[in-house]
Amino acid sequence: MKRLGARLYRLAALYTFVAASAASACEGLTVTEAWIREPPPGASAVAVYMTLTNSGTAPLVLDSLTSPAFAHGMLHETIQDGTRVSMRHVAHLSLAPGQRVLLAPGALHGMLMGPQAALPRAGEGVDLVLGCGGASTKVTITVASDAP
Amino acid sequence: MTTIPPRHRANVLLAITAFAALAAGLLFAIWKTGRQPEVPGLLWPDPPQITGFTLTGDDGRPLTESDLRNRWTLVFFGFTHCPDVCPGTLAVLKQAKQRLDADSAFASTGQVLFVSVDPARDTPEILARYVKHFDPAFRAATGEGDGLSGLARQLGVIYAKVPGSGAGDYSMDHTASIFVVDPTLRVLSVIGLPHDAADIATRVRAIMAFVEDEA
Ligand SMILES: [Cu+2]
Repeated sequence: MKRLGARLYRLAALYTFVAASAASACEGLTVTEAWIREPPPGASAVAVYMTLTNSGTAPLVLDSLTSPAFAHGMLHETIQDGTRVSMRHVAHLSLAPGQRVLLAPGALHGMLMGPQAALPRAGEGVDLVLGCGGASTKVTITVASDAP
Repeated sequence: MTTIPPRHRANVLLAITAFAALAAGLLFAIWKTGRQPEVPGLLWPDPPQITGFTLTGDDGRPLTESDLRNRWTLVFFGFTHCPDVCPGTLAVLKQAKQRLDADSAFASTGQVLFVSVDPARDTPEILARYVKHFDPAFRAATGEGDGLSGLARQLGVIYAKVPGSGAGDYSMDHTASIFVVDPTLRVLSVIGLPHDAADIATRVRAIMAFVEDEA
């Protein structure tokens, strides 16, 4: 009986830990210089640009990028092979302590697909959720009519 | 110091002036015939030539090589479902056009043409709304089959359909260079990524000056 109690206690503790980490922010992640280009009419997807910095002391692995305003979201990369330009899905993005990664036009970027409502206009904000191993950081990205 | 009588002084001056003018003219002629174009990326002396093509314009009417004749055209291939490179380059082209319009003949003779490689989704109406979001003067066109592939082949543009994550969802891989086409349909430069408005304006200005000089 004592053993079961201890086991239940450990289970409860574990559950609390998981619940707490799900609600906590990505440790050390800072998002700066974030912007979205105002999408032209008819756009089915928008790209998100920003600077990600791991200001913490532990490695950070970004594994999701979503928005409540879009059906799907992911990390993407624009790649050029000769003159052929294409995009590919990036499953993980690792940031060593102190490392900074640029998400910029024509390179690594966040990709939000399937707008759930009217496309955002310049000056509006788009909520973005960056996930890293169960934790997540929420930021609001400003839509700009042009590159800052 | 020997003195030259005033009458002779005038003659000597005339002779020196005449010789200097002759030498300058000769040097200019040598420089002009033998010079290498100092325009970076200029396709010279044998630029590719666009011949015939027929696309459908954003007004639903045919858009052919005659729409390019007697105009300077910046041609860019893409598709409206393209979220990163296409809106980025169209925004850059808008700025480049503003710069060129401010101080060159581009204001009266220049145009920007967006060619969609995704005719299945990009109808003339969709294309018109899309490009005019960037600049009301931008034109767009697309075409099925030979219409599109004909122009693409002449410019060395490649494009291919790539399946996306969802059912029926797809993306297009494509050449994302800007083609600088002169009023006689010569492709004088191909500007690859990354695109920068100031750089494009400088290059187009230099190319226009070069062609004017050649004429
Ligand atoms: Cu993308």
